[in-house]
Amino acid sequence: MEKVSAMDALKPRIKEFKYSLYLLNRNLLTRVAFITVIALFLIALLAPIISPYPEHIKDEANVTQKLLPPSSKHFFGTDELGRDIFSRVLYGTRVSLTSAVLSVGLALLVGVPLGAIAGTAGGVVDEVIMRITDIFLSFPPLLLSIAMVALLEPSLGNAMIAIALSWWPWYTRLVRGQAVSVKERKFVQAAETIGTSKWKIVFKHILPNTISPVIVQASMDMGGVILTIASLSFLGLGAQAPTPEWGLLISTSRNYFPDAWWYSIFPGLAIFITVLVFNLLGDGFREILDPKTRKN
Amino acid sequence: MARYIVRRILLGLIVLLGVITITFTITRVIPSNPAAKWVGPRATPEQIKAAEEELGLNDPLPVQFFNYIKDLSKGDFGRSLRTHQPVKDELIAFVPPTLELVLLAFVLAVLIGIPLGIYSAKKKDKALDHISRLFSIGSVSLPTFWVALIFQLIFYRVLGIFPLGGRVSTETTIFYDLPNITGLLIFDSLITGNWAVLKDALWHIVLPCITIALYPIGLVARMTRSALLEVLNEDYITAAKSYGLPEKIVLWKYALKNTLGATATVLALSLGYTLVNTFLVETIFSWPGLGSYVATSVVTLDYPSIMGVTIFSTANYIVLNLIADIIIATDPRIRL
Amino acid sequence: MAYFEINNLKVYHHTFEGKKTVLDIDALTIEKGSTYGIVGESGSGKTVLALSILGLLQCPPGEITKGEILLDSENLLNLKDKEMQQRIRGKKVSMIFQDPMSTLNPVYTVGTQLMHVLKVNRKLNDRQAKQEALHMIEVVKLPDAEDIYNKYPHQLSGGQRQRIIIALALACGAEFLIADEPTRNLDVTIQASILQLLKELQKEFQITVLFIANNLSLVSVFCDEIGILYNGKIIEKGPVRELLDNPQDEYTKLLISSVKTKNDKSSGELADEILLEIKNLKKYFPVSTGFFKTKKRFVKAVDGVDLTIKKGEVLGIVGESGCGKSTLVNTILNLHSPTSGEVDYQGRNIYELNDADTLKIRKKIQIVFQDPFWSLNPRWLVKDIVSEPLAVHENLSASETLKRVNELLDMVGLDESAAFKYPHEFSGGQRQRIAIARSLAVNPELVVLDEPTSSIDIFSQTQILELLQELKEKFELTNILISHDLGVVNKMSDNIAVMYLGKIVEYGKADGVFSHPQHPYTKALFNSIPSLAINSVEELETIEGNVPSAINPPEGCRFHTRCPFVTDRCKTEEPETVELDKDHMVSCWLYGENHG
Repeated sequence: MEKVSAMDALKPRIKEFKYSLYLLNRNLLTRVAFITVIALFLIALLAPIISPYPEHIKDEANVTQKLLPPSSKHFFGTDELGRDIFSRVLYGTRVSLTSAVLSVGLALLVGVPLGAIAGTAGGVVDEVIMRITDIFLSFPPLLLSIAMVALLEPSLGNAMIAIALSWWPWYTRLVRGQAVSVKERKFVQAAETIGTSKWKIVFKHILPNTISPVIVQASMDMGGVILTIASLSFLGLGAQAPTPEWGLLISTSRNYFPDAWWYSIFPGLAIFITVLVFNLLGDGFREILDPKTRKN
Repeated sequence: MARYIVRRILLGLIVLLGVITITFTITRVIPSNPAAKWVGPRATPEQIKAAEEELGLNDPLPVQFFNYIKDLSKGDFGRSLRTHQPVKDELIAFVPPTLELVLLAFVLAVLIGIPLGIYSAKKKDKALDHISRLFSIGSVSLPTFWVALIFQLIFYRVLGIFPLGGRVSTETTIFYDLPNITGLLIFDSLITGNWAVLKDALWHIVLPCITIALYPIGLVARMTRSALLEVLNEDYITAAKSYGLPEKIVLWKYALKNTLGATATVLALSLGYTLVNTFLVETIFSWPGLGSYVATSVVTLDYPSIMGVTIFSTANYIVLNLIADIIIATDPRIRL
Repeated sequence: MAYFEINNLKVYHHTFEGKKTVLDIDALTIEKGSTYGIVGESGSGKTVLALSILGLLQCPPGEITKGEILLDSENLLNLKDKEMQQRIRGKKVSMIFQDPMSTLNPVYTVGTQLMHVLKVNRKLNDRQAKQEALHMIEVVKLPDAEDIYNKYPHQLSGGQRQRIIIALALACGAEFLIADEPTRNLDVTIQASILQLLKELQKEFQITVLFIANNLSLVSVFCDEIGILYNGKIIEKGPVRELLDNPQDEYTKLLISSVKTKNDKSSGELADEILLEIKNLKKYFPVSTGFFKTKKRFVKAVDGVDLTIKKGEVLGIVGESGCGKSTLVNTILNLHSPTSGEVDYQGRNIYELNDADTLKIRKKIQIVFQDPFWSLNPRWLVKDIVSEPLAVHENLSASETLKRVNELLDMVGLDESAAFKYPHEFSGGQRQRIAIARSLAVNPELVVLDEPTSSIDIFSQTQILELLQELKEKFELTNILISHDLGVVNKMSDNIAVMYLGKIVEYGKADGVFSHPQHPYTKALFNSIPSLAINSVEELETIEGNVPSAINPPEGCRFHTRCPFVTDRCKTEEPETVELDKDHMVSCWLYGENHG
């Protein structure tokens, strides 16, 4: 009996998931973006296996091979130490995706509960939390991260913390707005009249109904965060050598630019494609999670 | 209305105070030895001692905070570690070139982004809408500093149309006196009628300006499109058409006026992004502005300079957002 | 050749499940100067029809494949958009939309919007256009045209806005007017005056009207002929009286029976046991004042209500939107604490209980909300929704809970498989059944019904009412029923209370109040509602003026600003409640002891 009901409980969720996949597949660009994002995560996972020169991600020098243009041996050419740029760019996927996921995750961890609390509690609590987010959001983008990392010692870890600290208010604002409107829905009142506890109402009724726009925002932000990490690394505030981080690669390549053009081109292309597919996917998510689209 | 503006300005001041609290925390509270940071890694123990004295680090935190605000209100951001000049004087020197670049890029973002967004919304789901959407989503996905390099590669190295960098070419500085009234070179040479300098300056600003403007163009186009589409779905638009109003009045008078609030917000935001992009590309184009200043300060870990730029830019950004909010408040729907 | 004809019109809508027919009209003819009514529920294609005539249907997703729409023998479907705009829209055909707030552009003053339309369509200069705009404001009977001219839409009341929309539609000499539920979002008393204005203007300017609504009584009062629209097809049509007296189609019969109300409740005597007693209950909401103001102002949503509900009774509460009936119910449900007064449940004040006892009361009082789309959490399975009260109040194992859920679903006529579906997989009527099942999960004594049928289709309405009555008998429930549909209230209630601006103005046995309303407001309210028995809009009663704001309600009797029988005393002294007979009370100076 119990087993059967567990299966039954799963069925409608599978149906929902399939429906979402169907919607995702409908738009060609979204489909391409979705497949590419999956491919990027696979590359990140399999980087040590698929890169031709996995040993080149470290400081290892190979002076005879330095600054060679692209060839069948080195697809993206080599750098000033004779390392294979193709391998380093592939490894860069791992660095960028990991740090972006961690930064966004950290920002969500701080921002989402605060937003839910502000929106549900209202009053002074709401006022205080929202004024604090106002203060964080009144820094021009990137600038707060620059100032923080500079004072904390430049490193990839600190860059991630700095990004999360300047990013969380966006989620707080978003979730709060959602929570305020969900709170007014009748099912929340219905739960109150039944006597469901406040705690349960926030986490079982309100939070699950605020999550769709958060997913959209987070997937869009993956692109923005990857771009920010690359920018910080480019300024020397993120990843440090010899980490194969895309922004850092471009920064180093400037010393050999424009003669060794390949050194700059390929890491930049990797950033562009990654950010682009995340943005496209975010756009697609927004469309399929929009209740207006779903209802039809 | 007046009351709203006063209220909004008061809120702006509270936010500014909050911003200062954060920068204070970053510089004085979080680092384990702020004085050592403040004078840089190569300082002698005596210098650190002196800095401790100067920063008043032996005072209790509230007193330090009070003195910090007092100094800031006098425009005292400390001295640069690199040049030993007051940060305030350096800011005064570096702001005009950046302002020139930012303003021009911003104008570009408005002039291209808004029409592109309108056009895209008008032709929703037609081929040209797809192209313009792809363009705008692409332009917000590009790493600005990389675009700068690519532009140099194509337009300087391969095609040889535009110069590699700088505000004017060396020859110009030798043969002409550069006008200096406002510090905005293009504007100054325009009002003094110095056409040769003007031409050269324009020549130099093209690449950095386009590079910086790309992101805001995409951002403005996307937001304009979605705001306009939302308005075009409103009942009063269908109603206006049913009264026999022609398409162009409906679009230009009825729909666009209703997107004013959204547009003001996105313009303020895009100005923020324009500014940030200068931090990333000024060094690449050897543009002697705030961005180059920040980039160099970051490399040498010149804290007073970094914090000076941060506070200065943020204060300006707050004022901008204030202006955007006041524009939004002219919407009669908001009851004041 | 008739003035207006539709022949063989087919309109499709493209969705990703494929092409759906939304409109399929064989033939429809309207003679010049007459009034044709289309009755249909939401989703039947009413608005699609209106927009197709004006050439404003969004294509895609819409698609008009064949047929013709003839106006004065000219096929509108053959005209280009430009021609429609230059010759037809606003000039020959115009439209009144349903929601007066969203139909006016919020960023322009009323005058500017009228000017735009006049200048474009009639090529007037600024001065002429302004003069004409002021004239139109007077035509729609708004006082002080100059003042209205300079106002923004949000500064006007709903009724005033709808008048402006009529002015906009008629400003440029349209002879054919499409009215798409023109009174849907208005209070009934305002509705009557708008209908009368429309009728008057129709006669004055000899306009042909296509009147679209979901309310059969409303259409029957306003129109000469009726077409019943169901699923995009006109299933029956004819002159009003013929159609009403001799309906052929089953759906038409159902529609007619749903508005003809019979009081068919069992008329047994009520028990004497008092279940709930409301004593001088007040609920004020503070109004957010500016940054600098210190004086607080309040919306007096409920202002001194006394009511008694006996065990097994059904109490109906009626009143226009904003009268405070929802606040009253929410306060009884303890969703917010009252400003003053008390509610005694079986003799104990529910606001002074400790947490454990409050929980016990919550178990005994349940509610069924108006809109089952919003009252069920869309992310929960039906079994979790129905069993939520069980999870709070009873400690059952998973299999026991499921068993109980299945019993409940069965009881409300749903299949067991419903337990593992999400709410959006059900129709409105089915969703309301789920809501009812949930409200009965923990054997409550008092169930509040907040407009239980107003958001669901007519088929389901009757069934839901029957289900509610059946369950009431079976579980000996007590009900508080809120509804703006007097038919529903009459059908279900033993007693009714009429609310106006936070106060109860009349209370009594349902039969008594319905057959002999006493308070001027109750009379006006009842007589302003169209019914099949009324033949023309002139017979409807209207009340002058707008409902005053609840922030600063009028002194004395709250209805005095709109009452036709107002005396000086009404303006200063609040009327006491007078007992007319054992079961009928009214608060009005007309019935004070001085009169009696």
